[in-house]
Amino acid sequence: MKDMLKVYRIFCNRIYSIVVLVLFPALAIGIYTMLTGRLAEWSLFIIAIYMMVLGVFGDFFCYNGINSKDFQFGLFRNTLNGRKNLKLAIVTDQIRRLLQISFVLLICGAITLSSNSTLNKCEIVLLTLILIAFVYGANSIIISLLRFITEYTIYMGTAFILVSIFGAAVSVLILYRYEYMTINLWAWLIVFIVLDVIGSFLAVKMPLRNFDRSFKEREV
Amino acid sequence: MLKDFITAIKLLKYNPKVKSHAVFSGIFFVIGLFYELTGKGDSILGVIYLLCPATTFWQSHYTSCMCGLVQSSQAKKKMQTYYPFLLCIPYLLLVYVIVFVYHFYLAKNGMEGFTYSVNYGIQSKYLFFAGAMLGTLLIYSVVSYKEFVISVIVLVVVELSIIFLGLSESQKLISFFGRHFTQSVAFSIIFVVIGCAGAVIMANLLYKKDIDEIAVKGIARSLNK
Repeated sequence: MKDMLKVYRIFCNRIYSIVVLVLFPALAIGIYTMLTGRLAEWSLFIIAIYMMVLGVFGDFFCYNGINSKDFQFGLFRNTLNGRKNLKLAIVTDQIRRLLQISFVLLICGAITLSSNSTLNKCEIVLLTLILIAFVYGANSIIISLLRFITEYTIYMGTAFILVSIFGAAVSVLILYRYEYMTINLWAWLIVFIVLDVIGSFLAVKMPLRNFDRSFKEREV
Repeated sequence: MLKDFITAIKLLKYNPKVKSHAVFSGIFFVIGLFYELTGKGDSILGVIYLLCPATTFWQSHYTSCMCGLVQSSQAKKKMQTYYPFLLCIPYLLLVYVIVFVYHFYLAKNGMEGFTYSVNYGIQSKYLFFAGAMLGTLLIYSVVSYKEFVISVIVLVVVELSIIFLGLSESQKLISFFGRHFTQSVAFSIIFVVIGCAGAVIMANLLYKKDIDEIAVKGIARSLNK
């Protein structure tokens, strides 16, 4: 545990941790308390997109460029435990991401449960779980792609497109569920769990692959 | 002037990520065009993506400034205060004129599904916010390389309000802009002029300041061999 935090803090400095781990999630819960009751299920969806944007743009400040072929791993390459530590740092980041998203969305779900919502309680719990699975999976896939980009203008432009594509996907899901009643939420929970597994695999595997590649001679 | 323009284009070649800049500039331009042609005044996002290639010109020149050779050369000041503007401002003005003419045409000829007055209001609102967006992004592009975090916070607050107002379908807002078409066009042009002048002034004021580490962190890491 101590090692995990130590390695994680190599990439994520104090200001980043305070802003991304404390300030913005607190702001999200604050926004949610204002929204809840007015927008019903859409308010949970807005917070889900908010967490996705936070995860994507927050990643720029810590792991930016880690998948790009020119990335220099510095001292990680000079130690015997370099690969292990890099893996630990990324896995810790993924665990942090899952816990953060779960924490914020579960609190938001609990607020909806305690309010006079039109949805039944089982439905709210299921919707919260689906959104947690979706946000984590989408976030992991988006950042795995964006970690190839080192220039921030291009990063921002591409991030907007990817976030809007995934956001549109989940909004269509919610629209079909609550406007036309044609979607089975349990099936989608399974689909999103598969998305989580793929996302986690990509997020962890790609930097390690890049790390291994950094020892090889570059083709001219 | 023409000689400097050619030099500015030649210097683009020497930046470390020229290929990805070129590819993504093209992609963003196409996305911007797509939003612009399909949205027809509904969405302000078209303008943002049409402006993205200009910010990549900026990025190209500013990342070249990390090189020691440029730092010690006489062209150091020009690399930040002159050459990027030679490419960006003509490009942005060209984009702005095209957007302006297109929406002016839509305002005069009307759109299917909208009454004449509502369409007039939508186009008027679009032109106003497009000018505001362009002006803000121009100044932000310069300041972000020197004060990244502060400029991003300011940009997020300003841009989000512009985007939300630009996307708003409030009848009050649309009828207000419909009544003041001439004023909104005039303000749009004023915003663009302020943006261009502000960007040049900020570049001259801030060029002695070091480039912010966070803005070029990814590139710096990948070049630090």
